[in-house]
Amino acid sequence: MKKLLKILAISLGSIVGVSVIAVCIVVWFVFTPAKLTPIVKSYIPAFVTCQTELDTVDLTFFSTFPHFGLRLNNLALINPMDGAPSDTVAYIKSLVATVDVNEYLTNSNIVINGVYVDNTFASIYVNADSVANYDVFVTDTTAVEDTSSAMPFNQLNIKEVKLTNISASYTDVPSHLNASIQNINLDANVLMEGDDITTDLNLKTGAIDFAMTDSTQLMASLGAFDAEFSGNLASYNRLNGTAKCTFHDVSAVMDSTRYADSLLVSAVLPLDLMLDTTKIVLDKALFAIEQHQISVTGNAEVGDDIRMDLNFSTNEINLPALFKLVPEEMLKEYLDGITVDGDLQLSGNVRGIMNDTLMPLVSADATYSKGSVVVEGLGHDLYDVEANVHADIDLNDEKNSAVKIHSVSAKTGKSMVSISGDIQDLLNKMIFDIKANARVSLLDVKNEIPEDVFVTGWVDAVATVKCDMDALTNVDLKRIHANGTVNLSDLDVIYADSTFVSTNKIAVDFKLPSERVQNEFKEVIDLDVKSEFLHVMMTDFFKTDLEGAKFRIGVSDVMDTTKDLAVACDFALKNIDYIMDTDTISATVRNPKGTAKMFPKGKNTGYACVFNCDSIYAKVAEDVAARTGNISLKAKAEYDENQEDVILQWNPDVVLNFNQGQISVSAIEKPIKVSKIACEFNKKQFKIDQSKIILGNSDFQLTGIIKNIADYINGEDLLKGDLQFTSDYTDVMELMDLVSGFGDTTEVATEAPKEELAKTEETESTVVAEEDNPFMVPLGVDVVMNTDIKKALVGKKVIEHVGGGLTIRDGVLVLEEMGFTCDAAQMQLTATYRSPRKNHLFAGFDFHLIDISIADLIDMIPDIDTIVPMLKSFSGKAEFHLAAETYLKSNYDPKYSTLLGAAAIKGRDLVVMDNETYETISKMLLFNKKKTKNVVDSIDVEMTVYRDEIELYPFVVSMDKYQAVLAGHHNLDMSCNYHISLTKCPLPIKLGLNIGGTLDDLKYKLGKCEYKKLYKPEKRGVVDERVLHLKQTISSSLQSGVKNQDALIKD
Amino acid sequence: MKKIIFTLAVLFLFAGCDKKKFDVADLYGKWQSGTLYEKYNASGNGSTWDEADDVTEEEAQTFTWELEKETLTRYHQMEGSSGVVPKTFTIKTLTATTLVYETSGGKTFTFTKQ
Repeated sequence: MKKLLKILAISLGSIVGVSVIAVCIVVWFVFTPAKLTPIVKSYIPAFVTCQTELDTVDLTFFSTFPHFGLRLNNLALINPMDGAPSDTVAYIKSLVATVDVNEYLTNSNIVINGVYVDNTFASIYVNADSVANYDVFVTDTTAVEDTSSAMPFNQLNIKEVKLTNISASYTDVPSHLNASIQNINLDANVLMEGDDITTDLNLKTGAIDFAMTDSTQLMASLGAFDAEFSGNLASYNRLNGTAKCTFHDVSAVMDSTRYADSLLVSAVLPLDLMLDTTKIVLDKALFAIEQHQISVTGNAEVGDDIRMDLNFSTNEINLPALFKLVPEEMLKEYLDGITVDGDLQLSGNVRGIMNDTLMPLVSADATYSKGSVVVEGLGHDLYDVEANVHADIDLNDEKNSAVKIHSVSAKTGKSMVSISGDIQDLLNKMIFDIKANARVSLLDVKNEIPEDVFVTGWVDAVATVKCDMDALTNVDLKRIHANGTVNLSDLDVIYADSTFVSTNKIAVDFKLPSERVQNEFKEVIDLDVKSEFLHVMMTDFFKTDLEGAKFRIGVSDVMDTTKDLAVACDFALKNIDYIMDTDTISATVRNPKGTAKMFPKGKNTGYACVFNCDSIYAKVAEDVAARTGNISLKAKAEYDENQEDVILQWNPDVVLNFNQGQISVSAIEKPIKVSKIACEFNKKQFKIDQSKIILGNSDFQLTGIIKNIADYINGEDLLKGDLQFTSDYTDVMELMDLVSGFGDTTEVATEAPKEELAKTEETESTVVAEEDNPFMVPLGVDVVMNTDIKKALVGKKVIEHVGGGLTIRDGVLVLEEMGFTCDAAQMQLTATYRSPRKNHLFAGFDFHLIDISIADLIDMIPDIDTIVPMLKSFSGKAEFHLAAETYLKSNYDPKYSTLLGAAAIKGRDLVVMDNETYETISKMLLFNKKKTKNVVDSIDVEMTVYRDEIELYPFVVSMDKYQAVLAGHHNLDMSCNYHISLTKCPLPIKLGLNIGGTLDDLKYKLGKCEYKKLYKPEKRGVVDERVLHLKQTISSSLQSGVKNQDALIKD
Repeated sequence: MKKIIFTLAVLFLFAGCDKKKFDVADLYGKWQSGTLYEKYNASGNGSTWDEADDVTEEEAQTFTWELEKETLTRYHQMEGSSGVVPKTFTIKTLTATTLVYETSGGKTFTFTKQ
């Protein structure tokens, strides 16, 4: 065995040794470079036209073992051109090719064991005339295209192609292009068998630079480029394999905008490409820029149309990292001041045909997570931003494009908001159907609230919105369908540190457009507001509490600038408490409810209100307190800004009913009870249908109508009124006591210190008079109020059937012929009040008492005793006529220079009272009281008041055998000067008695009998006649005003 | 001498008892006494006002008047009723420039013609 092995070893060694020797001989002695180089050089001109240089051509064996190879050393193609960076078009330092000759000879297979190219460079240049320096290759124009598909070999197998350190540059002057590539290294093998080609290549390059310097300044570079492909081409048609390529340090700058900066770009393409149909099938093809990847699976077919069905999916793309890939200029343009963080993941499908008219359908899902958005100046940093969105894009029929928002949510501060829904017709109308939820801390939105408003609390909102983008951008409320609920809790609002609003909870339901129908306008917004408790306060002004408040508010289209705003509000509250701090006014309203509306009406604004409440209690300090029962108010108004008068401006139409009212006024001891009021008011008339008031013992009913209100305001007619004042019982004195001093704000003067008085005297007019505000009788008014008082208590007297009219007629207020009866007399009163100007007011009255006892007269009018002090000396029936008038100052003080008065008292069968005065007078005039009947047949007393003087005209008193004439005067200061002439007596003397002093301290003195002829017609003188004439003038002028002349005492 | 004295005494007596008679024409015109004004027209109408009471001439209280010797009688028709208030004054002096009268209450007023 050993021997056998030894023989074999020796044999093989001999063979190898002989072979080596043979190879050496062939390589070094037969095919030497000296012999091969000329042969190769002689063939070069057949391929290139330019100058070439070739150092040597030699045969390799050991370096290409086990195959022979042919090696060209230092081959250069030289074609100098002006401007070219080099006269060398290409230079190959070493080119080695090995072929398996035996395989071809035995199996007709071409097996190229290797092609090796080392250290090569090319310098491509195209000059300004578009002449290229590489245009040096010979073109065989005589060759006939071989159309036969049969190959001259069974198999082509290029086992290895290896390019090492190849560089190239390209300069294209007309195109302003410069490019270069360094250090290309290619390692590839190709097996071509029949119609199938199998290849496996690996390409690596060094830096690649590209520059375009025409109008577009483009600079691009790669640090390196790697590419791999492993696959096969079957039947020259189906390419199947996997391609991988990586671009290192990709940079690109165009027009000073840096689009890429040292990026890593890569792609892995497992592909299956049909060349005849240009259909490519990708299976998880992966494209990546830096760490951002997109995976594509599917197929595409490129023909006249591009048909595709591709699924794509990205990894989780970190947005800040992605934005680094975006040019800074673009970021500034679209995201200036906005900082976005988070991860975005996209997946989807592109399916369909793409050509000039069709585009494929795109369906994609996007998930955004761990997001945050910070917008400078917004004041709200959004965090925990999450989004899950699906989109379908159909560019062929844009109506089919849609976005499904599974969820989008974000938080800011303590607030959060989330939305979901879909957007149909995405590329056209963009029809939204969105549902939103939000919980917002109002502190988080303080930047959206005016500076002087501080708000705390929570807003919980749920809303759905359906509309298209056009409606949304134009805020077309009629086309925005929205509804939802907004709950505000723990709400505190402070405005300007002076107004405070707080509530535990307010719920607002809204609906858009509203389904409610308003007669006056088209309601668009429907708000339903509920609050269990709402507190509102303005410092030093008021505070109010609203309990159980419900408001249903309807609003017109607020965005319609062609129409004024219209609002309707149905309201219902359990209770309103209102307190005004400054004036200590308080009010409580129980169960107010109703409707208030404001709406455009033609060119004007219309208002309508229906108000009902169970009760109102109001109080003004300690001065006024009012309490009502049920109140029902219906009101309409139409505001016309072109009108000047407030009533014409508002054109109100009001119907008011209320019951069980009670008003307490501090100045009035007893409350005013209003059991019922029903009235209507509009610009034409004010109609009181019912009113019933009780004050103390008295009751009143006021009904009637006031008409021509608008015509009066326009100056076209008088304001006419016809009112009826009815009372079953009126206690006059009680009423006067109750209202005495009512409204009088005059302060009682206190004695000032002497120093102050002295100072006042020095400076004199230091007192500033407050402006009075007397009642001014309106002009152009004709109002009559007829009274019907069944019973009235005046003092201790009950008068009945008090009737007459209170008339206001064009600046004059007249209490007209107020008549009444009582057990003491028939009475008639006419009073007049005019107000020509504030400090010149006229007041006058004309008063008649018919058939009244003198005692009752004095009892009823105590002042009569002051004017006619001697009247109380008589007893019996009399008639009394009194007229007086004066102008008044604005504070109602009389202007004495205008004071006029006249009185006439006519009595029959009177009895002289035996009082102290009568006793004194009797003594002085020597009356024999015991023998004298103190009965007076008649007296006719006339007197006048002129300024501060009261003048009693002479009147005769006949009593039994005595007759006396009394006359005199006294002043308003009560100083007096009276005279009694005893014109008839049993004694043959005519005595006179002068009474002077003051009414409280009379002085009696006998004197001349001054009126001894006055009542003796045959002896009267001119003066006496004048006196009687004046008396008659006074008496007749006064009596002429009596309505019932038959009741008068006839002479 | 006694006769002379008696005659003069009778003359003085008659003179003292005789009523004064003034020229009514002197009364016509506008008279002023402090803030008080009075105006007498030849037609028998007149008016009075007191500026101290903030009354102007246009707002004056009107009257009719008559002069009988030294007795001036004014009839003030009341505005608010049918009543008439007569008032008599005793003229003490009436010249073209001066009017002095005494009211029935004994107050004296001196006016100057305006």
